[in-house]
Order: sequence, then structure tokens, then C-alpha cells
Amino acid sequence: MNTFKRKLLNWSSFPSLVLIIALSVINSFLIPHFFSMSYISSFLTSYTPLIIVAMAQTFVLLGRGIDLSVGGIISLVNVIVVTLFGQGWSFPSAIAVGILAGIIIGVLNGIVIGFLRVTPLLATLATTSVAAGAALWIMPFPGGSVPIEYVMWYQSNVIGFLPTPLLFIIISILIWFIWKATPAGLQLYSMGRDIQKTYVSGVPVVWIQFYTYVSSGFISAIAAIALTGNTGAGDPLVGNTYTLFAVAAAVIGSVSLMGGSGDIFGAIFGAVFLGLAFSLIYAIQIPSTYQDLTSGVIVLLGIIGASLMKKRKRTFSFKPSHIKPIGGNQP
Amino acid sequence: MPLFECKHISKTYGSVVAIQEASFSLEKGEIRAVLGGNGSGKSTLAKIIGGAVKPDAGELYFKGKPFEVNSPSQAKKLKVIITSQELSLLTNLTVEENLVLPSIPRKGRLFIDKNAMKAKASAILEKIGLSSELGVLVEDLPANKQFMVEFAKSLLQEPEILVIDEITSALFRQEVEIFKNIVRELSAKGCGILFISHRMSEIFSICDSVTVMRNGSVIDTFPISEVNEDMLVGMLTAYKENIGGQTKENRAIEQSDRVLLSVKDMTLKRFGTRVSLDAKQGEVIGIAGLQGQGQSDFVRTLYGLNGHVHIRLDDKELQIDSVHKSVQEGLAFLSGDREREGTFSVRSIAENLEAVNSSALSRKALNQKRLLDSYGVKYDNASQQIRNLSGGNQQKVVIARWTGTNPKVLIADDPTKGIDVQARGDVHEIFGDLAASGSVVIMVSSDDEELVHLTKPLKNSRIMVMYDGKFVKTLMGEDITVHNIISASLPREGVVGK
Repeated sequence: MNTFKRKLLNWSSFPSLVLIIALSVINSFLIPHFFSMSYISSFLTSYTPLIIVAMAQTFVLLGRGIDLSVGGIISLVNVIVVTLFGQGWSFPSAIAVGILAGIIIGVLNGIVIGFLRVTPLLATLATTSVAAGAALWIMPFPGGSVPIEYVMWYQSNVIGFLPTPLLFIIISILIWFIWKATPAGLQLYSMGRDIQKTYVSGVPVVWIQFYTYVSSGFISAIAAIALTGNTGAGDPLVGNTYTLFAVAAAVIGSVSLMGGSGDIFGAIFGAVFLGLAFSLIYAIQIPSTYQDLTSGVIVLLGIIGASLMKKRKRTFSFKPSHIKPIGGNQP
Repeated sequence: MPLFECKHISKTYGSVVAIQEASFSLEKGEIRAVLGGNGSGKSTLAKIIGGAVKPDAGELYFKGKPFEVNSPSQAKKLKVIITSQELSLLTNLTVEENLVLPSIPRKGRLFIDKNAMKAKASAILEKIGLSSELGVLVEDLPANKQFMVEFAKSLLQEPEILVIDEITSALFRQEVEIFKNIVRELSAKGCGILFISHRMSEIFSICDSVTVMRNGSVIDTFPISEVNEDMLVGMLTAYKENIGGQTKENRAIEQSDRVLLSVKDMTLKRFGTRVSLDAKQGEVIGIAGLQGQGQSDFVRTLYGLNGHVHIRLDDKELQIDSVHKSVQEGLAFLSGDREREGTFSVRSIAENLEAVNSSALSRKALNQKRLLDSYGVKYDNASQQIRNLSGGNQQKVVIARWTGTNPKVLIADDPTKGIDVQARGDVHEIFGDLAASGSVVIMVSSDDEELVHLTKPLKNSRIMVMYDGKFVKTLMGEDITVHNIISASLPREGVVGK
């Protein structure tokens, strides 16, 4: 077995890749022109926000936290950008303020969780209400608009053939690679596995936690900018469904809720899997009353499938077994 | 001026005295062994030096200046490093990532310098003979190599004082040789070394001096040339042997030859060893040994906590595949960790009592008042939360929970941890009575004195000593003494990998 094949099989994101391929095959039979460029492009237009927000969630999950505020951040950034543009701001400066708002919520999470030691679940549950509440206050009803040029640009290609939404994904992946290249990347994985041992090794765990939430806020804001390009309008409730789907995507992509294992590509694959599932449901025209039920079942199957494959990989692992006698008296 | 000095340091945890007025000093380049039995305070001492525990009283000096640290990272900055058998390695990272974690080499200000990281790691890995493990995840390393990597991690931090807490216990012989050479090298550079170990051969081959600890006190420090193994064992065990001398023969039931519980070749996963035990009706068996030699593994495996086991109980062959099954078949398990495995702390005494009887076994309710009174539990009323009771009374309630179900075998894993002497005596009494009524009692304790106290007065009793996942000695009758237990617990020849 060559090294590449072994690396691929042992890659934590491999099960989710298999799921994507399986679902793509099914979709290709049921959806006309599934493999066409125009279908792929429209798929990315719709699901890029989910893909990006799953990445945001991954930063936090790897450090054994959870960020329930990503949905609130998406709503808030969306309405801020649309409202400021409506009030005559230039579109780029409206985007800048929107992204700043995402970062601020991230900083708030980071302070409350990192420095004040509040449980991530509670802290972000509270901040998501803050963000979503602020969004409702700024824009009580859906409406407004963004420059039509922006929407056109978002829904077209750059450099001729590259769907623009990919640009957003690439920016988020770049943030991930920068993280990985700094000591914080290593410290993030180590903190996710065991915060006490990491602390004892002299790692400033509080700051690492802080950075994960700030990154999550920032990347969620990028997701909101992409979303705004897709919807072209403001909606104070638009982010609501993203929070748990982001967690689900990460889990399907083998990012552990217990921290310390998985990577961002798993989250991307998990989000693509969810996107494929949703588009299948629309394509075969399941009545809207059963849509939630069907998508719920597919998400469940995805999670079960990913974790079964993870177990299987362990069983047929190429690594030596971990259980070794602790005593030294064996020959 | 000594490199490091402790003056009259004390530390208590609740009512337990861990260290009492301990004083000693360490010179530059000295390799000092610290020897002591369970609960002698040596690990607490290591933790105090490493900044993980703050002493209640006493003074510490490092290079003549007061040594005041509040956290392990502060101690690390002063180059006071601890490397311990409670490994600080992160299993999801590679060997080199673990090695550099305390100070990651940087390129510019922001980025990891991967080349420097590899270079740093390979240099030290070559030194410890693990060059081939570069890039391997720590979770894929066998235990002995993990211990070596833990040791290497401490070396990379350039210690001026290195505390080595039982790290050699999992090493193979070649590795111990490498380890010794590195320790000697460190000492030549002027690093002071505290070597906490129970392996006599290692102590005698590398240490300059030895400090003996017993019951939280420093007994004395000797140059290694002035002592021998027998003298050291003698000092460790200089207990008053009069405890538990009065044999209460009336309590012991007629010698029964009927084997109630039989375990054959049960595997202890962590050690990869197989153990067997036959327990006769009415027997009280104490399981002794140094900490972590498989005592807990044995009782927990027996109870079905570590997966499927096969036992013979009351002339019936049983496959225990869950704890529920073992409880139904008449096994009872009493944990020393009351908080996590014993009490339901915010529920009432009554509910705690019924937890097994009516909830797990669906039997009819116990006579609670009678049970509680017969064990002398001090309480207001049975509906008060159990956490309002003292530790000893809480544990009595948990014991009553089990004895109320008339178990065939009561398994106790250090059940008297952190409870007072009076309650301890009561617990022993209850165990004795339970055995007298025909059950088997198996008790692990980290306190050798306690085991003697429990088993000596009873006729049908023995103490089995474990080392490295195996039973190495059985003590009965007059042989049950603290001295014999400690003597059997220590590997006197101390040779590894033989």
C-alpha cells in the first residue's frame, strides 16, 4: 500500500468524502444536468454560506468549545450591511462594518468563555440572542437591498471559469492555513485533547480559546457577506437555521465534539453533503410538509454513516494497537 | 549554598496530612532518590516543588532565594521541571509536536519553524534512541516509548532541577540504561535531580543519596554508600506492628471450604497479564501493592467495568457482559470515589439507599431505618440530601445500599479514602460481619496499615500483593504485617526486562 493511499484512508475527513461521492451518484440519476457547470455554480451560490459557517464552527469545536452564536452573527451582519447601504453608505464600507460586528461578537464570546470561564454552550446561547436580538432591532422586517452589481458578481464566475462563491471559501481556507502555520494551530489541537495537560505544558490556553471564538465570529461574518450576495436583501431571521446545521456539517465531517480531532476539510465535505441532501429533496419535489422530516433523516443517516466509517477505519487500522502492557516485564 | 531547600513544609488535604514539617536540601549536580511507601507524601512533595500544589506552611528556597510559584508554568520559567508517570503528552499530536509544545520554535514572530522543530526533536530523539518515531502520533506509541518521550520533553526544557516521578516504571532495560546515562549527564552539568522511585536497583546505581519518607515526614537522608536495601526497607516499614493484634475469633464463621467465587485467567488489559483467584465463602481478601500495580484494574475488571469476563459464582458459570448483570448475580461494588461513583449527592439519603435495591433490582423496599441505625449513621431524617452528611456517614449509606441487597461478593476499591478513623473502623466491622454471614469481601486499599487492621483479626482472611498486574504474594495469619506487605510490594531485585 503506498503512502498516499494510506494517508487518504487514515484522513479524518475521508468518510465524509465517501458520503459526498455516494450522494452525488444518487443525485446524478435524479437531478438533470447534475454534473453541469451551471448546476455546480448554482449549488455553490446557495450553499457557500453553510460551507463557510461550518468552517467557522470547526475552529471552536477543535478546541472543545461550541459556538451557538454563528446563526445570530449571520443575521446581524446581513442586516447591518443592508441597512447601512440603504442609508447611503458605500457598499464596501457597509461590508467592513458588518465584518467588524461579527468580530465584536466573537471577541465577546472569547472574553466570556476564555477569561470569565463561562461554559461555551451557555455563553454562546446568550450571545446568539444578543446578536439576533440586535438584528431584529436594526431591521424588524425583511427588506432592503444591496447593489445589483454585487449580486450579479456573486452569482457569476471570476477569472472566466471560477464560480465567485469559491473565492469566499478560499479566503476562509486561507485563514485556516495561517492558523495551522502558527503555534496556535498546534496549541488548538492540544487544548482540544486535554486542556489541563496543555496548560501544564505552559500553553496560554485562555488566549487560544479567545482566538478560536474571534476567528469563528470573523468567518461567520464572511459567510454572511456571501449569503447577502445570494439573497440580495436583508432578513433578521436569515441566520437562525445555520447554527445547528454548521455543527451537524462538522460532525458529519468527523470533527469531534470532544475536541482535538478533525479538520476544516471535513467540515467543508459535511456541509457539501448537507447541501446535496437538501438539493435532492427540492429536486424530487417532496411536499413541503415532509421536507423537514426527510432532511432530518438524511442528516441522521449522514452522521451515523460518518461515525460508522470512523469506527471501521479504527478496526482495520494500519497502526499498531494502542493497548500495550504498561509494565516493562514483557520481553 | 544548596541549590534547593525545603524548610518545614506541611500540606494537609481536609483531615488527611500529606506532608508534615518536611525539610531537606538538594545540592547542585546531586542525584537524590526519594523513597517511601503509599501515602508517604513523596508525590505531594514533587507537586509542591513543581508548583502544582501550594504548601500550607514552610519555606522553599531555590538558589538561595525564596521560591514562590503559583503554577507549573511559573516553575517551568525558573527551569524547575517535573516529569511524571501521569504523562503530560497529548495523544493526538505527533512525537515532535509534543516535544516542542512548551516552547514552539518560531520563524519570524508568527509562524512555526517546522524545520527547527524537526531538528530539535530529532536531536533529542536520537539521544533517547527513538529516532525512528519522528512523525508518529503519540497514541500509536507503546507505553514504554511514551514514557521516554515524556522524559525527553522535560529534557528539552533545560532543567536546573528535574523531578522524576516514577517515570522508569514502564521502561525496558535498554531504555533504563539510556535514561541513567542522560541523568548522569544532567548531573554533570549541574542540574539537581530528585528521583522518586521504588526500584532499588536503579536507586543504587545512579543516586548519590537517598531521602526516606514515611507518613508524610522526612525520616532522614543518607549518602547511598552508607545504606543497603534491607536497611531502607526496614526504615520504610518501621511501623508499630501492634495494630489489629486482638483476634476476634468469635466473629469468624466455621472454616468453609466451599469456593464461592472463582476467576480463571482474567486478562488485565492495561498490563496484558492474566490473573486467577479462588475465594471461599466467608473470606475477606485484601488486595495490596504500590499504587497503580493493577489492584483497581483487577477489581474493576472482575465487576465487569472493563468488558466481558467469565467467572464462576456460587457453582454457576457466568458470563458477565455488563455491570447490570453482575449486580443481578450478586456482585456489589463500592468505590472510594464517592463523588463520582458512590453517592447521588443532591438526592436524599433514602433514594441513595434504594438506588440498587429497588431501582436496579426491582425488589421490595428496604427497612431503611433499621439499616441506617445498625451502621450508626448520624442523620436527621432520611429525606435530607446525602451531601449534608460527613464523608464517613455518606460511605456507610452507600455500603448499606449494597449490603441491603445481600450480595454474594462485595468488591471495594479503596472504600475508606478520606474518611475518619472512627468510621473506618466501623466499615471494617461491617465487612467482617458481611463475611461472617457467608459473603466474600474483596477490598483494595492503598493504605497497608488499614489492610492489616481489616484482615488480621479475622480468621478467614488473607492479603494478596500485586505488582505489575500480577499477584506476587499471598499473606495469611501471622504473616500479615505491614512490613511483609511493603517488602512484597517492592521489587527487591528491581531488574526490568528479565
